[in-house]
Amino acid sequence: MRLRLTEGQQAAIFALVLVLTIATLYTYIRESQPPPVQRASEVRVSLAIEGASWSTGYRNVSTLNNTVFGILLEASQRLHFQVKWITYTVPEGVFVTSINGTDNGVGGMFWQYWVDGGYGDRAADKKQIFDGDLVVWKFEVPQEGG
Amino acid sequence: MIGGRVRLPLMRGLGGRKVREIALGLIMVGVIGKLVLLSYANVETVFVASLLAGSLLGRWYTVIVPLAVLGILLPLESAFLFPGYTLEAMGGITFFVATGYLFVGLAGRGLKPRILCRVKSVALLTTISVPLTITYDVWTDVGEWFFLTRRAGVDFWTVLQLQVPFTLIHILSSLIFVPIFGSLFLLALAHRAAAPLPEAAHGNAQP
Repeated sequence: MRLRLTEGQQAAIFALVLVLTIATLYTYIRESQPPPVQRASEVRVSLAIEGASWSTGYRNVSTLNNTVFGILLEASQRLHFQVKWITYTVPEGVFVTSINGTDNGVGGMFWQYWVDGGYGDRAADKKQIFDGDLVVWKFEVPQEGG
Repeated sequence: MIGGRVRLPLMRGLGGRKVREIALGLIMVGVIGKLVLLSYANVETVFVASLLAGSLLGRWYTVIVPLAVLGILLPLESAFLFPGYTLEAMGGITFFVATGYLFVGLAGRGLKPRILCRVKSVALLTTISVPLTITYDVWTDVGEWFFLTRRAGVDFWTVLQLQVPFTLIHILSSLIFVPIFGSLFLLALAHRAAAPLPEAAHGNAQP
């Protein structure tokens, strides 16, 4: 015997399945996000910025800004250069679009960062830095998807 | 006279006033939704506008709606979001984005005969949106890899792996917007005046 459902019953079942699917997927996406960086005690770090035709440094400084983005902003205020970025809500994090007037996309190159030689694997404001770390921002051809 | 001969089938392909209004509504959903949701990477409404253009309206709207949305959005993006991007990189990626949305529209067009004002139709559109979203993302990854990341020696497999979290968000976006706007526009079509659908009126189902 074949079960016949009214439009209302079909709508209710469809809505239930859809809500459960969306909730499951949303929970998974939220759980797979990198956790926010907790403000720690002072760290001593170095920052190097390498544009296409210029470079600057912010070496061996003690700071409470213990993220890759935080130290970049601190350097921009101390050394008087401009940083532009977009803040994404999902996935959470900042995307740096311009440093010292050098905008992403010129020559197919983008701003990317490395910490102690390791390529940035998450948004700059989600990447914690520790005592003795060297942060390098380079204007290069990208190495990531998304 | 020749102009008139060309214009007449073209106008017929655009359907009645109500159909044109729905097409305009889809274009607005695509543009406004994308702009409002800019801070949510891969949460967007261009996909749903393209899918519904093909599956609800068909005919020229399969092509017109996605291209109109992109025609409005891309100049805004290149002027305000990516001002420094090279023409080659923007042009190359734009090709993959535009053909990706056209593919979505055409896939929707293939479903058009099965789309009625029924819960089953909304469920069908929502279900099909998942593989279509994945296909669209893989296709645009090809463009991103070819025009951007390939030069850095990054292989396509790595690009696909890094894309996974963004595609999950894109699927979430489709699962939210396709049933919402699908239901709204299906109801709008069902409640429109007795004027026949463009395809029912003229029998020729192209493109």
